[in-house]
Amino acid sequence: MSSYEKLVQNTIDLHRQITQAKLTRRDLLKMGMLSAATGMLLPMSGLSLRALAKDDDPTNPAICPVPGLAPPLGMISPPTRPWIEEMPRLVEKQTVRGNHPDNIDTGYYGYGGAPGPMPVGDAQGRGGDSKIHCLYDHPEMASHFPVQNMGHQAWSANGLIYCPPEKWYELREKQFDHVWHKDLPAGSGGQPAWGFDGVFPGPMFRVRYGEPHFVRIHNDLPTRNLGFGINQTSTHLHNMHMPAESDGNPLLPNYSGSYWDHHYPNVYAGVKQFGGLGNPNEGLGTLFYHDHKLDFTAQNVYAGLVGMTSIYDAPGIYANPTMGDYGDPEEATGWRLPCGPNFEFDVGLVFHDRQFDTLGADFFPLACFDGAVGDKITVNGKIQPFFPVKRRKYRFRMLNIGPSRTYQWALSNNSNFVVIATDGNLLPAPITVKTFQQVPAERFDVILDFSKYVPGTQIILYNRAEQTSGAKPTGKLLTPGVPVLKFIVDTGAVVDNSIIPSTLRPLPDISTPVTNNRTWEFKRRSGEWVVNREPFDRNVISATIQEGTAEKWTIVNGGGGWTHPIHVHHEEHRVLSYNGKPVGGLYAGRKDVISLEKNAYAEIYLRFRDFKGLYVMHCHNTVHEDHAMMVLWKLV
Amino acid sequence: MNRREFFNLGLAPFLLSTSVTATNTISAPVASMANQPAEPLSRLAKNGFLPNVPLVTHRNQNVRFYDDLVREKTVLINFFLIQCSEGRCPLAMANLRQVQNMLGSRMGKDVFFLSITLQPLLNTPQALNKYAEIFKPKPGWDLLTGKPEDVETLRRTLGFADADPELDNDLQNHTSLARYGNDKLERWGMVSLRSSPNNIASTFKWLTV
Ligand SMILES: [Cu+2]
Repeated sequence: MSSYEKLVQNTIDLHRQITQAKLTRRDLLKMGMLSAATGMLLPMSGLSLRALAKDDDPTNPAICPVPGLAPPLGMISPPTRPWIEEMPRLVEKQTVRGNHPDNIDTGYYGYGGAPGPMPVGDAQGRGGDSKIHCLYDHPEMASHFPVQNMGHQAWSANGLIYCPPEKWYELREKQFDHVWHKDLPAGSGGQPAWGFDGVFPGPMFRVRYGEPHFVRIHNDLPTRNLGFGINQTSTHLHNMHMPAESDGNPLLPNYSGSYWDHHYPNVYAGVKQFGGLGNPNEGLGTLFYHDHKLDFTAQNVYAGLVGMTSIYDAPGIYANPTMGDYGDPEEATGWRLPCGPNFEFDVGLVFHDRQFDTLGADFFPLACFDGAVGDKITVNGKIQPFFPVKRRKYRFRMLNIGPSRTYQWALSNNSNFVVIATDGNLLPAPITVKTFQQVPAERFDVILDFSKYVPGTQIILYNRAEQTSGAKPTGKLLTPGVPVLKFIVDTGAVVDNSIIPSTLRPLPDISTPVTNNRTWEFKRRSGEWVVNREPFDRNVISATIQEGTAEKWTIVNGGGGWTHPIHVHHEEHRVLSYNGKPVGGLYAGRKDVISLEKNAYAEIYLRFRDFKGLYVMHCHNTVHEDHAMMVLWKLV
Repeated sequence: MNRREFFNLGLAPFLLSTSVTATNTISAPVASMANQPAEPLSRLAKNGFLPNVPLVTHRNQNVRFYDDLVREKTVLINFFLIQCSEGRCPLAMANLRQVQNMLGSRMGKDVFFLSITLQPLLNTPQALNKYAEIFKPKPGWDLLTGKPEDVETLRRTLGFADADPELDNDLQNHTSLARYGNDKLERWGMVSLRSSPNNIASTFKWLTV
């Protein structure tokens, strides 16, 4: 532990003692520990880091503010009362009117096209349908993205995979006012944020294998940003098995006033090997979409550009009728997971920590490239909300969008989480745990059963992992932890046809022989985030991989005491070993994020299937990603 | 008396016509300067992210960091060490030399490079001028020094300091990342100066559209 870390730790310990002693502001004032003028802890040794800082000018901002500490080394959000506001559900995304492509807006410029397989028009923006100006504005990119390669791979009748869209959607990225908590000085009017369809989090898509879908994403963002962010976007659907032109590559921004067409074929991985819709044992479930603009991902996601997608199985995809996740409102078919009419019991939970300055204005630490953590944890866009639940089983799709915080979840009554899916993928069998860790970009689907509680019972979801900087959690487990979300059990009986099945989706066979080994070292090198000693360069393709092959990658954390959640686009992986040992439990399933603890290394198995083009691998501490911890790789 | 008070007193035209703050980057006629707002334009500057500290260029001009070098401009900011033992700074500066050529007429017009020394005590404007001979900076690329405390304020505020003081005290541990941004549009990102000149130059194409 460095002297700085010790300093921070001591101060945090003292703050915890003050909290435990239930000292009020009045007590602190009386004891001469609080400034009446600023409402901040006085610069006393051990009480505030300001006293020990090199420069005790309070106007000198911290490099990376420590949430909850006084300036200059810290920043404190204004107080907000817990459990004041109800947790909003994610808006259910609807298709365009009549689910008809004629009702897709042709855009701001008025010369847009109807959706079609060839999205790129000519240099004047005529023809085609996606208005991807960047291809013309940056001719040097033609070597990576020849215009003819931007045609939708799975939308051509002569292609090997032909899955033209059946469901038609539009999204609009725009600025709106969001209320993170009504106690904040911004009040019930809220403060500016960016969001898909003008909400945070963006709407929940419910899509299905065998029903390919199309999304036209209009960029209606203003030129003037939020003090951070950029109005150029590239929307990535995290973990979707999809062609590169619809992946949301960081190098392909969609400019304000333009739009981009994404086509998702919604086939299981292994179409070429298995035929039909591919191998249902490769079924995905809980995905999320977010902006991925090069160098600006953390800022734009923090601005609010993120939403969720749930994908369900094709009807009858398994010969055995007791298998499959069909999103059945009656909970009568397949695995009978909690769902209910209008997905009432299949609920997305988006966790996101934010920092506000002492005046309550949104704050993003632009000057901090270790990472960004805030002292307010939001669920579906609200600080410490409550959520009324009926006396039955629920499926919660938990998503950590970071930018940098790791959670360790526990429930106030020490009850269980029944984990059914990791990174959206249903496990071979449910795993019951009392606590689990969730790093940025990871998803956990859990079943919570409220049927056994008397009406009025309150259960609090706690985060036990202490984290005071963007680099990593301190390692200390708080007791009971930071309260994040309160469930309140409703009165009255309710139908529950759902079950917790003893077995779920089998793991696919991974016997395809490995034809290539690669090693990727993620490291801080002389104040830079690098992969294999090099920072990101848009002109360098770090791996060229043959479609249809399997590879073994060794992912190494090069040290320095940091943690890195690593994500590979397009293909998920299986962990063969972690620090030389086999993994079990929550880490033995199909995963798309591998969390590298300090000095850890992992061997992962990947198959590269079905589609071609340019993809990326990066650290999903998005602040690290934006500071060049990313590589390009190409599937040929 | 601060800058704003000066403007309120109507003294600005006299002040700006003296050599104290005159620089080659202020091209507007002196008479129009009085009409300019005294406040920083961007929220980031108001919030102290872009401190208006005095600096001196390798061309021996006295400048203010925000008012003269950043305000309403597209800039790239890096910190360098002349005695860089691992050769990262010479590489970074050599890359910038190529980038300034790639940017063509934009250089010095709407794009500016600000290379700030990590050893302001050692590096006088004359020393920087001598060092600059290697990289032949065009108008629009300034090598900068200043009072140590001002350079330190800049280094910390712009996020070039390591959060760990032990690492931060090691001069050779400095980063090759450069901050690039557009003050008017308040867009700020970072790019590695160890990446190719083409990669660095491309960031400017995406900053102003
Ligand atoms: Cu990382």
